[in-house]
Amino acid sequence: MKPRWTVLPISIVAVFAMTLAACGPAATQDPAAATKERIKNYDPGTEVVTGVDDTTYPVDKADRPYVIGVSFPQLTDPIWISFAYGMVQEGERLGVDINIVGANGYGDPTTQGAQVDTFLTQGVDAILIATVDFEGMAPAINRAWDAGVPVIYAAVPAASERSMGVYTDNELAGTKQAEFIASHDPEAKVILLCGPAGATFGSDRCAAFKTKFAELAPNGEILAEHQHDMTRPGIAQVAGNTLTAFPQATWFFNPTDLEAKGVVDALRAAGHQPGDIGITNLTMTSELVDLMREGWITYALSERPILQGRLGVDMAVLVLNGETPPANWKIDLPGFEGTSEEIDRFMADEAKWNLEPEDFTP
Amino acid sequence: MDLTRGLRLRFGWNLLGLPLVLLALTLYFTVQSDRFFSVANFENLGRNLPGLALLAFGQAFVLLIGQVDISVGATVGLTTVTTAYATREFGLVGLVVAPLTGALVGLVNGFLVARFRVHSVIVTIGVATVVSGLALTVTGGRHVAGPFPDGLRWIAAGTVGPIPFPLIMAVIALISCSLMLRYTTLGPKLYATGGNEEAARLAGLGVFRIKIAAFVICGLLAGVAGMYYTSRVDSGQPTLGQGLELQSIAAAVVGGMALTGGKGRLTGVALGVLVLVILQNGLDITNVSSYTQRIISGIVILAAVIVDRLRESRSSEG
Repeated sequence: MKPRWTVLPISIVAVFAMTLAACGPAATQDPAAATKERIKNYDPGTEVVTGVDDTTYPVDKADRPYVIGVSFPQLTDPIWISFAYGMVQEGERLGVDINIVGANGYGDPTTQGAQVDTFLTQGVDAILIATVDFEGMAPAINRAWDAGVPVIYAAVPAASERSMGVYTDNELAGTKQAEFIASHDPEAKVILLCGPAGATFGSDRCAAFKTKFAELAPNGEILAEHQHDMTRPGIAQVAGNTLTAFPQATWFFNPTDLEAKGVVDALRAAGHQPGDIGITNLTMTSELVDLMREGWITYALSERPILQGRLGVDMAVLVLNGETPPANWKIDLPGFEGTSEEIDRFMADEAKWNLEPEDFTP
Repeated sequence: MDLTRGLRLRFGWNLLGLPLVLLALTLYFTVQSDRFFSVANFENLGRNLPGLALLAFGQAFVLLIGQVDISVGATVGLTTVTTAYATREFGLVGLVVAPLTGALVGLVNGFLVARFRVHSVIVTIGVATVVSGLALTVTGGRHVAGPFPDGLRWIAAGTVGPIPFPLIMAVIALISCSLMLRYTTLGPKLYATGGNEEAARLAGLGVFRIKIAAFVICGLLAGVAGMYYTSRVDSGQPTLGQGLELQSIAAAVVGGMALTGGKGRLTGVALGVLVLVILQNGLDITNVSSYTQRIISGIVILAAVIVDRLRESRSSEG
């Protein structure tokens, strides 16, 4: 009997001590640290995610089959279709239901705000959103957070109290194009197209370009900068008019692929040949890559919308799983010149992050 | 005073006022930039103008009967898609699909407006939504790429002598439509229907068919505009025409077409197109900020509409 009474308390104390030992370090650890470690290639200083591949997604599974509502400015733009593809792929991998809707285009927060409210009525677990208006969407985003539904931004944020998401780095998009043009043509004469009036993505990218270009190419010149309607004929018209005013222009800077395509339309109509005037832009859609092959596009940055879509779902699932990931993930934007070798490199390394299969419809 | 009044009565506002506006714009922008009044810029204008011109001419036919067509933008998008597919498969012969696509959309619009007597704003918004959805469904939201026949690009970029071919397209459309309004029985019937539909009906004019004809012509011209845009962007683009519907209505109204129907001339519409295109061109060339451009463009359109209303009230008083 005596040994029996001695062993039991010792065993209990030992198990308790082991349990405490196991739990101790976790109780004092930064809750975000574990998640940060799992987002490989994440630089906390710059908040940029680099070199992600199929083995480095930051989350392995969803704790339960969450439902995530997704709203894009519209579903008629190739880039949002690519985002949607990435989200659907990641949803399938994690066993999460992705419910995608398109709003009424930029500048109409009422439609997108109503979509957020509908998601809340449906009882979604989280919302992924590319906002149509920075200020105008903030109230709807705050309503969702207040209702206990986390909102993750996909590429385009709002002025909300709580903010987390996966973003295109606008500053990087501007500076990398400036670095390329300055290194290839220190006396470049550049026309800037800066996106639609009121949209921060265009103005931010243009501002970053101007700052870097002034630093790297003091003998270069910015001839003109224009905002424009976000339609291809409208862009072509502005580009053609501006080129008529400044025939000495040697480069066009473009914040997205749509501007670049509009510039090509204008140059083509004016009888220019590929390579006459340098064109740089962010975003590599299939049509843009075709134009690169034809020699119209000198340099383009890979925006990686499919990767952004996948990581957006990952961030939402991490939050729903109860983890605390870093709030801002910016995506590295590798650049490619319009040469056959570079295009081949893009197709080999980057196409999977940019070009969804042709039979995919959101 | 009498001379001014006489000129106004004889030529109308659109033939007296708009040339003066154009002259003023030309003088102002020429002073502001030596690039404006140049051969290069005239070529640039000639290449940019026809899309809006074709749509505005079509819109004029519908405005004449007191209706509007909101679906022309979506029709352009669908037409670029059908034209791209057709020319890719059948070469330049496939271009015939462009006006046919537009005319078909116009036929649907006209039938619904005439048969059910629903205002065209509602009908054409509905049709535009269907047409746009159709273009997106067929393409999966993506562009339609080539290879296309070489001649396709020539439509938007070619020249005949020193004159850009798109400008020639616009002039041919203007002359054809003007002749149709002036020398066929359809012209007076359109004016009569827009002026007083009930009276036209009582006079046995066949209002049902007249309405359908107006929308078919509008759709057909939107189809031709779609062909031009297919050439311009060298691809089919399902969303390409967004916004063009409002621009085309604005150009037609600036050019003197009455929103209430029964009044207006195509020469005026052509001048309206010139005013809007030259205004945009000059503001771009003189590097005016986009925000200021919006204000100026808006003021020009508002001024034209107000003048239209004043003219209406004056004519009803007289």
